[in-house]
Amino acid sequence: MGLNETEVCTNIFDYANCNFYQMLFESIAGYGLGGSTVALFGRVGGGIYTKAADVGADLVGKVEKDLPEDSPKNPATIADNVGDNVGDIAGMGADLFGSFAESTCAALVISSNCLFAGDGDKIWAINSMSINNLMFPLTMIAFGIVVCLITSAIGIFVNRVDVEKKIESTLKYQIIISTVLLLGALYLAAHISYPANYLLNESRNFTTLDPKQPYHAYLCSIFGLLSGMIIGGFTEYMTSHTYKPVRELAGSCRTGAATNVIYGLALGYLSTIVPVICIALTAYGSSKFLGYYGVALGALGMLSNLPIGLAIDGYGPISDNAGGIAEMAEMGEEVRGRTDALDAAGNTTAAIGKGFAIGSAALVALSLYGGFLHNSDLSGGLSLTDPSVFAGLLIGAMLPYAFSAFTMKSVGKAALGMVEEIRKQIRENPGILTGTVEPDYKACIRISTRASLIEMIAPGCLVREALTVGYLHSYAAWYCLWPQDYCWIPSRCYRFRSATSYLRCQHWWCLGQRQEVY
Amino acid sequence: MFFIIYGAVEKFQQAYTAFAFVIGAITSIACGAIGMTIATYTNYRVTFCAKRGLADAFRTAYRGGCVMGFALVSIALVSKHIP
Repeated sequence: MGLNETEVCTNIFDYANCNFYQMLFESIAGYGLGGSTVALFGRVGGGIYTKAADVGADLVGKVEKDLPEDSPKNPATIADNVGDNVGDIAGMGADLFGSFAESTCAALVISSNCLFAGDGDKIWAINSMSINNLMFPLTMIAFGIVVCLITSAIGIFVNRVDVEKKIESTLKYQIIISTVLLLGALYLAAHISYPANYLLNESRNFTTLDPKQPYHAYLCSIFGLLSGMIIGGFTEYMTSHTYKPVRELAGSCRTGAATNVIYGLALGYLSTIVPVICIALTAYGSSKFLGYYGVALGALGMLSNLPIGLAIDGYGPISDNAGGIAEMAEMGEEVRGRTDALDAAGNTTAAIGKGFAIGSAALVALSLYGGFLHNSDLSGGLSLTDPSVFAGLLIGAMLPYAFSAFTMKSVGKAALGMVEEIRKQIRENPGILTGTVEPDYKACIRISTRASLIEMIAPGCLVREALTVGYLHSYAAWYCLWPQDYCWIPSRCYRFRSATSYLRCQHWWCLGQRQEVY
Repeated sequence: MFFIIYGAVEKFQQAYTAFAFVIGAITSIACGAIGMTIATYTNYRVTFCAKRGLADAFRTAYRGGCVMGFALVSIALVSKHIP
């Protein structure tokens, strides 16, 4: 309905020389930005909340007082369980939503600029694509929802999980089944959406027009889909207790905590190899077929079985909290054992969802950068010897570390406050440990909430700062120049030039940051 | 955020983008809220089902996750059509 309304508007306001869909889809780009802005705060705030509560509760409860996990005698238990909801469900949901919205918007924006209808031979017969043809990204999502509906029905109604070993394999088969079904569904979607022949315009001035067929778009999305599955499988290999890496890590504990930390860190670094290679191959392969639009389609393909990914992600904290409730309600060993089995599988599968989110985010950053190159008509590309580009790249590579340092410091600070609060409560009320006095759960929740809200400011500013500096500087250059020569056309040119160079910096920065986060 | 919206409307004359930004932010918040509601709704049911057996508990937990997954993706799809 919204689309029709704006279509009427174009008849009233005559946008001369201006492609209407281009404008429409560029407005939609704001949607992805809005989604990921909120996701930033959700992720950071939720992360600080949950980790502060988790660390605080475990340090005093398990290490000092020898209480079991989620014991109601521990004052931070409620904060810990709420943290699982806030961090792993709300934060992760907003994060995946942000990636998802961004990748759809990137695909739409680039497609409105790059795709044209017409045959390869008749360059003069170029038309803009109709709206139905440009809707392929949304058609992909719609097909993904239907396929995931079928897959989850198989998982819930057909499959019966009666032994603990089947939990993990069921979740794994959910991803595999949905991927296999999507292989066919996306082929259908591509053939419904695209005409038999269309043109890909890689530069702004129509110098390079490549004739393309629907199967090109299909292959791009399949690259993303398959690499998503490989990343998921590899993440499971690295994080599941049935395979070698985790067992070796557990074995390293025999010689003490230090070897455990070193070995765990090494394993974490090692786990990035396969996903990064997958993403690089996807980016390369899909940009061979459809340029930067192909990269955006690859990101979207990786996220096309998102409903299943999210279901598996959400399953983890739910079973974690179920275990907490079983412990607090003193339901007995048997129930607790069952919820623990569910929880162990959930922890592994939660890591798979993160792989999807970040892998697709890297691809989206690359495709957005391509869209920027296209729109700003820098068809020659950017050179690393350009100092502003290189400076942006270096600053971008530094930022994730600064960002993690900020957030880890916040978690440490908040956890310290939490530990002190728990110790104080137990010292003042020894009855808490014997179970006769109810601890003050609210005080611990207050500490976590306050820490997550206050400590979010600095990392949030770090991200905004990079953008603001770019804009301020471009305007400053303009105002410095303006009084000197009163002819304002050159000054405007200069402003424009400096603005683009800073934007360039920022795009490199974004790209560097995304890659480094991985 | 206010400054971003203000800047988009005043400086660059892109009210539609600002509108899309607001929609994106609101839906993102809504997704988090829906997820948390579903999770709290489901987790004590899972505990209760775990008394009867592993199969029921798994089914309940996975259903909870599915509700969240489908709700989120559907919202993302529908809200793209609004701007």
